[in-house]
Amino acid sequence: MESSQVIVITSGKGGVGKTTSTANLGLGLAELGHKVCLVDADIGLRNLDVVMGLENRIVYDLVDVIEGTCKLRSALIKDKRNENLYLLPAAQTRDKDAIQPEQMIELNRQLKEQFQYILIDCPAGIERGFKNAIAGADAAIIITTPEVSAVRDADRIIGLVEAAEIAAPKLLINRLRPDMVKKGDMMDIDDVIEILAIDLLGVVPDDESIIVSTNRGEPAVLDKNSRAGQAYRNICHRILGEEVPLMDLSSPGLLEKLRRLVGGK
Amino acid sequence: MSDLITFKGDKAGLRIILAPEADISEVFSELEAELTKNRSFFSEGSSARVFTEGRILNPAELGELAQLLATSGLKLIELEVKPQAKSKSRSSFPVAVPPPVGAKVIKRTLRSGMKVSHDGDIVVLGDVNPGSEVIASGDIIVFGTLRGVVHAGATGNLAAQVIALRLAPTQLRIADLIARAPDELVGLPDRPEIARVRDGVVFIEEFAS
Repeated sequence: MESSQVIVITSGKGGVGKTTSTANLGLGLAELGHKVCLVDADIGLRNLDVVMGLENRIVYDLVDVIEGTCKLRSALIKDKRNENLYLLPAAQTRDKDAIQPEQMIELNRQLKEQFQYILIDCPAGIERGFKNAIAGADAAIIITTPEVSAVRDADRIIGLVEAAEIAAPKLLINRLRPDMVKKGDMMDIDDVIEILAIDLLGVVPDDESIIVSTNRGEPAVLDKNSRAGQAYRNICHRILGEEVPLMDLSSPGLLEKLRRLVGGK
Repeated sequence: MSDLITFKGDKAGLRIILAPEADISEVFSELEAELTKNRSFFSEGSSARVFTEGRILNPAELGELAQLLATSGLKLIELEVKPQAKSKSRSSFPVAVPPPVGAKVIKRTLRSGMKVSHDGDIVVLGDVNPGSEVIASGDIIVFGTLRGVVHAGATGNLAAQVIALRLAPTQLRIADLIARAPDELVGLPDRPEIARVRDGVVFIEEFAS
């Protein structure tokens, strides 16, 4: 497909929200009418299928496609909510050594024929799994939380992504708690940007509804009342190249009122 | 393909029909040649049913037949003596050569990422957690909670069944049929259940011995 893009979603550190963000951004882009494929590159520790609520549909996986056990078409799982969205699940009973970066490049080439956006959910770490996930990516979204350790790892990852000649990685700051930032107990957006010095794609506030939606397999991006869901929807518009101002995270009450006034956006 | 042997494939596996008149040793050598020639065509462990039209095989011939099939990775599961064109009687009996492989017993809980496969039955003394896989050519019996993916009768045996003390699999396959867990959350069953195929559909019901 013309102008299709492979975007790897990565962080270095584990548990900062790569998989949750992949699920939400993928579903958000599909809701905006784009054909999207999510690829779980975390072979052996797959989660994306669970977060998407599609685990019970898996018959074939990414390793089966790469080894030629099945056709790509047979392994793609159509999302139960949006027909523009597909998932290519990881194998759970194999490990990262089951595939090579060259094979990922070929797989991405095939996916680009059918999809506008291919989002790769990268495993934590900087070893084989990371190298597989970034192979053939056109763009990268770096996820971090406002914690010193996560930012340190994000910095390392940005260096590796740039060394792999992936153009201008974008930053997504996840799980920000405005109340803690206000008290000076948490790094604020500017602190993070100052260290990492890359373009900010968006900020997702810490939101209990994410935990609920992740456990249920229902990404929060569909939930009109979820602040994190709203943040993900804004980020989807930015991925499409639109200008959307950052959400005002400081006062949820006011924000709710504003949202009702503006009508959702 | 010669006149002595006819190969046919269907859902239940491969069917081999032996010509009635010819000398049995000729039929066998022809069978051997055909099997060798088409070796790559048959998947390892497939089941084969053999039909003889009016010919009764003696035990030695039966053994030779099973041996021939086994070298090509095929398993003889049934021998049917079809009546000669006009006769009405028809007899069919399962054969026990080669002898069925024993059950594999797993005395532990299978955790995410573990995969067990076995040509025969599998018995798990423990749980089968989500993200793990159990694949058997025969039955699967779990003395515990079954939450992972199971495939019974994996080589095409529709008579295979799955039994668990708490049956709540992510996905349950019997032969080439696939059933999956409902999308909405449902509680664990409180009694043992059995899954088997009836009229081409996987049925799950309370297990009563």
